Amino acid sequence: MHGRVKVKTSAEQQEEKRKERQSKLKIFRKVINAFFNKVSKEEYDNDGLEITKQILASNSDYSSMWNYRKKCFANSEKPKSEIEAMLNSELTFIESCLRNNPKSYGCWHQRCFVLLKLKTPDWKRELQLCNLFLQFDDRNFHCWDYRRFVCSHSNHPLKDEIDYTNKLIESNFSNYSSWHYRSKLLPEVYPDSSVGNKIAERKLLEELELVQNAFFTDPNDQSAWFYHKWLLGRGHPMQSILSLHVSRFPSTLTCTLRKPIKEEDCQQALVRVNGTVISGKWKPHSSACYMNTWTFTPHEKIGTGLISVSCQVDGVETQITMEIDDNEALCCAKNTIETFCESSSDAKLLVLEEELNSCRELNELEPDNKWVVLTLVFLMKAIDPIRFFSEMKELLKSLCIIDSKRSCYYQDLHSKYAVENWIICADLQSRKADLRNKGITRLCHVEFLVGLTHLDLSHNKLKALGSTFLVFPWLQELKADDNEITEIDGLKALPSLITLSLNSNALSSVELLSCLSTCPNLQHVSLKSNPVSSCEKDYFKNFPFRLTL
Amino acid sequence: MDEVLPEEFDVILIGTGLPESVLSGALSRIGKNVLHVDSNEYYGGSWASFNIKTFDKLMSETQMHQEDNSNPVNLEALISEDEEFLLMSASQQNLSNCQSYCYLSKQPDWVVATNVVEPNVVAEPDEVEISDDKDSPVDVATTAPTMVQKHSDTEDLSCRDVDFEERNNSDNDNEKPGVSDKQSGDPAKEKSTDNDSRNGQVDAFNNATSEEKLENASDQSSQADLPHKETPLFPFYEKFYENWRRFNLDLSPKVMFSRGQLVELLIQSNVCRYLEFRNVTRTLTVLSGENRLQPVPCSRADVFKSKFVTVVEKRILMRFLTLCANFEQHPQEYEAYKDRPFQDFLQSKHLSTKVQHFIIHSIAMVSEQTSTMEGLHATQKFLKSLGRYGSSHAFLCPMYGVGELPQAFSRLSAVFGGTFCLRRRVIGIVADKTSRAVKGVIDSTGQKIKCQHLVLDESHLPDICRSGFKREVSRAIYVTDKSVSPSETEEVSLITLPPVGNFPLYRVIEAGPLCCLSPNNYYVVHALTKPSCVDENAIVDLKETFHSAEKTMFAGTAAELEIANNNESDKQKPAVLWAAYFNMMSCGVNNDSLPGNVYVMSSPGFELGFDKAMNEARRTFEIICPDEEFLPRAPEPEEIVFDDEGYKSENNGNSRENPNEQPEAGNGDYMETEEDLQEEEEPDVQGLIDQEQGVGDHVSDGNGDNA
Repeated sequence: MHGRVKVKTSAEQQEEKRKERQSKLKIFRKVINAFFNKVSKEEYDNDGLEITKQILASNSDYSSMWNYRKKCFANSEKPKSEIEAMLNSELTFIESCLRNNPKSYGCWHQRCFVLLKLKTPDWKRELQLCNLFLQFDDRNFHCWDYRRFVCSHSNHPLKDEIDYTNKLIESNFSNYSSWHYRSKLLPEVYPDSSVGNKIAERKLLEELELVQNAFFTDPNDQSAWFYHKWLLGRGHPMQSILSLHVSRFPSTLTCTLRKPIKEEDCQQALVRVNGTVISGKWKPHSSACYMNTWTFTPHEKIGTGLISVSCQVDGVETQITMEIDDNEALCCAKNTIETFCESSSDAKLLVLEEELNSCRELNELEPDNKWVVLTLVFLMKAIDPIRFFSEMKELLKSLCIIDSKRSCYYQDLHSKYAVENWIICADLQSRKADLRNKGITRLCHVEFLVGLTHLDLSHNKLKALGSTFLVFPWLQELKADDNEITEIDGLKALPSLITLSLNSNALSSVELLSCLSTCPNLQHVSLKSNPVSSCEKDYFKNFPFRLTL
Repeated sequence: MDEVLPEEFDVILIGTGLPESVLSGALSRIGKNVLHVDSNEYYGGSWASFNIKTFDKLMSETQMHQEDNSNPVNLEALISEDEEFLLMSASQQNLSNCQSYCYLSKQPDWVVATNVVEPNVVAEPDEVEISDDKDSPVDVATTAPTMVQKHSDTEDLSCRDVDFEERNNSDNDNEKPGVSDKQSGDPAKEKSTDNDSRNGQVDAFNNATSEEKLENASDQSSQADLPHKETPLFPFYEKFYENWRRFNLDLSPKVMFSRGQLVELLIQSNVCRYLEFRNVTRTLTVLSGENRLQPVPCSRADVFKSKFVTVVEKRILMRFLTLCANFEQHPQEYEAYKDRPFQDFLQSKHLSTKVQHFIIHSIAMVSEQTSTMEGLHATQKFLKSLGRYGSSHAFLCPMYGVGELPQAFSRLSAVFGGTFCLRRRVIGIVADKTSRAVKGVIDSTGQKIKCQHLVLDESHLPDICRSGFKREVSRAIYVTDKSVSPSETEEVSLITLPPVGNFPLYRVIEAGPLCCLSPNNYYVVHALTKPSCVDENAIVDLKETFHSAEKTMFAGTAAELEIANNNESDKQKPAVLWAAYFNMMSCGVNNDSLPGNVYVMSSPGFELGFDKAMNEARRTFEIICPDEEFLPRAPEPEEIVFDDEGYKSENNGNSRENPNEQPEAGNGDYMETEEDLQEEEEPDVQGLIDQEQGVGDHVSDGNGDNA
């Protein structure tokens, strides 16, 4: 019989492989040496291009070689048409490298370089290349980046790009890359005519419906939920002046803004007294370059009357005006629900209510799905954070159990909502804040609270009084009894602090208290029922204030 | 053909259908000495695919090709005293009631006149004749009734002899049974009642009454006199047959479950390198009370984008499918319904009627009354296949038709030394009188060939081993001018049309140029149904059988639509340009009279996949070679070392043979060629570049953590 087959033994194949490798290694070393030779002699010629081509074809991550090639093209003194041809053949070469390694930084960067160098780059072709590579791997972020590069340099209609993401999402909605790209495109293609929202409401409602289909299909897929959260979330809050504090002796003005600003921007701010601009100097509250709170020291004394501060940051003008007839006064801007969430039209509210109902339904079908419960919270927050507050609180509590790994996140979220609701309802101008029994684990939105003289945070779940407390220049009394505080390093150099109460906490060592010595006016500290209370009295005798243990 | 074969083989296989070919490959692969014969001149038997001309011929000849003109064999000389002879069945044909129709009109003179150089007309002498006929249009009108007469005559013979040239010469409309009834006067009684009820019941498909149609028909033929040059609605007959070679029409259309036995076997054995495949890209169905095909949401992506179900339905459906994907682990969920109908179980899971329909008919592909356990297993089988090649596809189909499959396995067998002989008929089996074991066969040339084992396909069973003969599958094949549900890219569709009223369930596969089943701009629609008629001898009008399916999918035949001339014809739906109908028969095996070392392979049957055939082949292999591996991986050409005596041994036996045969990419890469074909912007077919994803959508649960 002829042609009987026998399969090669694996030992035979191994030996063959080994030999092949050895010979490859030899070639590799030789070529590398030649390359470095070229570099040291600064020879950027065709020869060098050929050498680097050999290595890059199989190892496209060798970035020195790509850089060498860039120099070759940049330094070439050949006629333009010839360079153009070289660049075009480089594109073909890069493409073949990308086939081997579609996630090579070097290749994609080189491609950007070449296209910017070309006189008439064929952007259409590049877009098709992206299509092809994203078809193989729809999460190749190198390619996504490159796609954005191509779109930004060509006049490719962004609407087509949205259609493209549509297609990808239809074929696999678990691909966050496409959702993300969409979230970048929508605000540009469908901008909101009224300021503040991210995208036009009509489009927003469509998107909500689309994403609802995704999470009903697979409620465990986080891509859709993240996108949904993005849709519900507001755009960036608007810059505004939150409060203005004026003191006449000595004459200072303290202004707190919603978003931190740079010194240059702040120096542009205008202070008017009874309509006349007065000169002076702005100083940040601390040494950081972006700050919320700035202090103005005028060159002349401030009299009584109408004082206004106006400030323009990033093209947005914000202003606050107050009347002063006393030595000291504080004015706070009015806060409403819209301070913390996007304003909604009736049509949008209707859709959100519907969403809420279908999510409740989904919650019944899929009890204990953390994404559903969390989204219920977000929806309630978007509809009416005050009306739904107790329900949101319960849901967040249940999330701490369902998804215990992230319980701190849920608690912080609750703290945030609790403080926001308090701010919406509180009279900040009274300068006293009662935040007892709120179940908060952290104090956020402190920029709203800058003017306080009295703050009571007792019976909460705070674990530390950190650097956020640095912002209170007028705080005289701070109570934080019955918390779980182990650290107080934020209570440093508080200029006005007189009384501090930290009973029933978890402060364990005397060293922790050392920062309190830096508060110049601190007179009384209460530390009952702390581990540290049981320390020998001798340890405490150096403190300049009275201690109750 | 008449060459003398070796006298003895380990195994003789008769019939080159799929299970026989798989078995043949498996046996050759492990070194068995195999003879594989087939009386046909083509491979595949009941599994074969044909071009359209061959198909027409097959449809017209099946009943008559039985006459045997080979010389009578002198049996006495070949059979010794202790042997007995079992005569093979004389009728090996398992198709019945065959008919095929072309609904396109012949090219009129004015086209020929303006287009004289058309090569086709010159090449085909028959057709030149026809256009000559048309020189005198009056002839056409007068011949028409005669043709009808002839038609009804042949109908009486229980098999309609189709003669295309003649038939198309007459007006196509004469094909309609209503018309032929009128003309022939008195056909079988049941026939006319059939037609009456049909005319009363059906409107969209068969809109006009017979009389009207007859009028219309004569109208049209008189109009044909005038040289009107408006673009015809449909291609002309000649144009249609120009590309006859590019049709691949299956006798037994099937699709492969992506994780079914056949796919595993193709990968395991490396036979896949002989083949190319396409995904079935969508699943369609018709909801009860509707007359419109709509997509079935199967995969996550389908469910997500479906606009036909509410979000809550989506959730419930997804939950149910996730349960089915590994239902064994949740016995508490179905325990109570184990022996109750699947539908009850679905109801208990709060699935809406629509979603129940999707699951029963298109996903599990069972019936309402199937037991819950069976339904769960069927659903699971589907889900396991989903997403293996392309994220939302569960099925593959071979390009160039199902007929490629038996050929690929036969090729494997031949590569490993199997002897193949087509056009060789075995007339009977020689068995030992006392042990009743088969000792060999005698072929029509009178040669006696010995063997240890004999494998037969069902249609070759000796008469005495048969029990009963029944219609197993009723088939219709249509060639249409567009897809039943056109979309942006060309699709390969699997369609289930659930039973409505008196009409049975149909399974339909539609594919076209993408699968190389038809030339560009044509689609092939395969419809299958189980014959409902109890009386095996009754002549069933297959057109009638498929009436409901046709009404749902098509606007009508090209001939009908030309007459209707846009009126009321549903523009969305395709027109039928060509159709064929036949029954596939199957017989039972009488095991008592069957010798022990004879193994019978079943006909393709109604089953959608290939598992039954694969099981049969594997089981038989295990009986014949109990301790051998079934189809181990065949080496790539470059791995083959030829150590033929002396031939290359000095060479270390290491030189590469067969330079023409390109080594193909590794195991499982059998989709590779696909990619090449796709190169020209066909984004949707990303599926096939060996994208094996490990587990189907519903099975995997790691999907969530991606961002």
